Amino acid sequence: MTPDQLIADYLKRLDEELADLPRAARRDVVDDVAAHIAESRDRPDSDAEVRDILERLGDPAQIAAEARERFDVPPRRRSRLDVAAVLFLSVGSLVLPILGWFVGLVLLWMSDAWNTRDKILGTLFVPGGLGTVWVLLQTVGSSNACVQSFDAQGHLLHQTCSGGASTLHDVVWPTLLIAMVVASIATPTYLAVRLRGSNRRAAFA
Amino acid sequence: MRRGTLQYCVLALLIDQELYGVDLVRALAEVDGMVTSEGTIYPLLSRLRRDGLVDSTWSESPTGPPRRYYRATRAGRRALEAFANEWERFRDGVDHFVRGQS
Repeated sequence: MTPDQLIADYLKRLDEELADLPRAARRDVVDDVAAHIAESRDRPDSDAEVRDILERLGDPAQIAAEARERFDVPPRRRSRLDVAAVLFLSVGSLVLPILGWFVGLVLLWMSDAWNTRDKILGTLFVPGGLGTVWVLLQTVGSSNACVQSFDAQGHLLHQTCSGGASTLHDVVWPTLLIAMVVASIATPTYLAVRLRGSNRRAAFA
Repeated sequence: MRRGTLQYCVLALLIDQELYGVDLVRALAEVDGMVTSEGTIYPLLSRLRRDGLVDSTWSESPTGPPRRYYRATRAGRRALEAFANEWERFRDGVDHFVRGQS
């Protein structure tokens, strides 16, 4: 990352961490910290200098925790609903196909433990979660079924398979399904990791 | 205790002079143990401003971007005086026991 990207990234994180503060305070702090950084730089292309400035400023979560304390905003608390959101999006989507996942989705968007980017990610990968994969497997499986008829001696008379061998069946579907299974497991895992991260950030307060 | 008293140190620095953020942080950092991470000064300044204890003006800087200068208001001066009296009584009381017994 270039020094300018480091700064932009830091200020963006700070702004996100301050999301639950009064708007004026949030703007004040971000403006002042941005000015502080600009003022402290002597060599515009020095990576080390910028890292040093940001380190002395402290972690955005720490500044936000201080701001909450100063403005009497209660520290962020992770409720059990956040954990429930992750569970519904993963296991819940199998136990209660489709419906379980939607419950998780609502909980995900109600929570302030994740930022909008995480929520969009959680929504897009994969709608319905493992439940969708399961439903798709049923449909693909049945469309691939073969109808066989036998004569009285048990000899095979003829066999009709719908679907049959095609690139769609042999390559595209399996790949798609595997990708969906991986995504359906990876996304809730990622959300759980982010939840732990935001717990740790909140613990500063 | 540091969190509760830091705001009065900031007010004291802003009584006789206008300072912008970086100068203020430097002045505080000269005294060991006053500020652990520099960024935490800015929420404090924002709160003092909302409470009317300091006000601020933007002014052009000769070298870089515009600076926001902070200065204590009359209310800020009164708040500092009230704290200073209380602090002296408190400090004397603590000294009486802590130093008297050692």
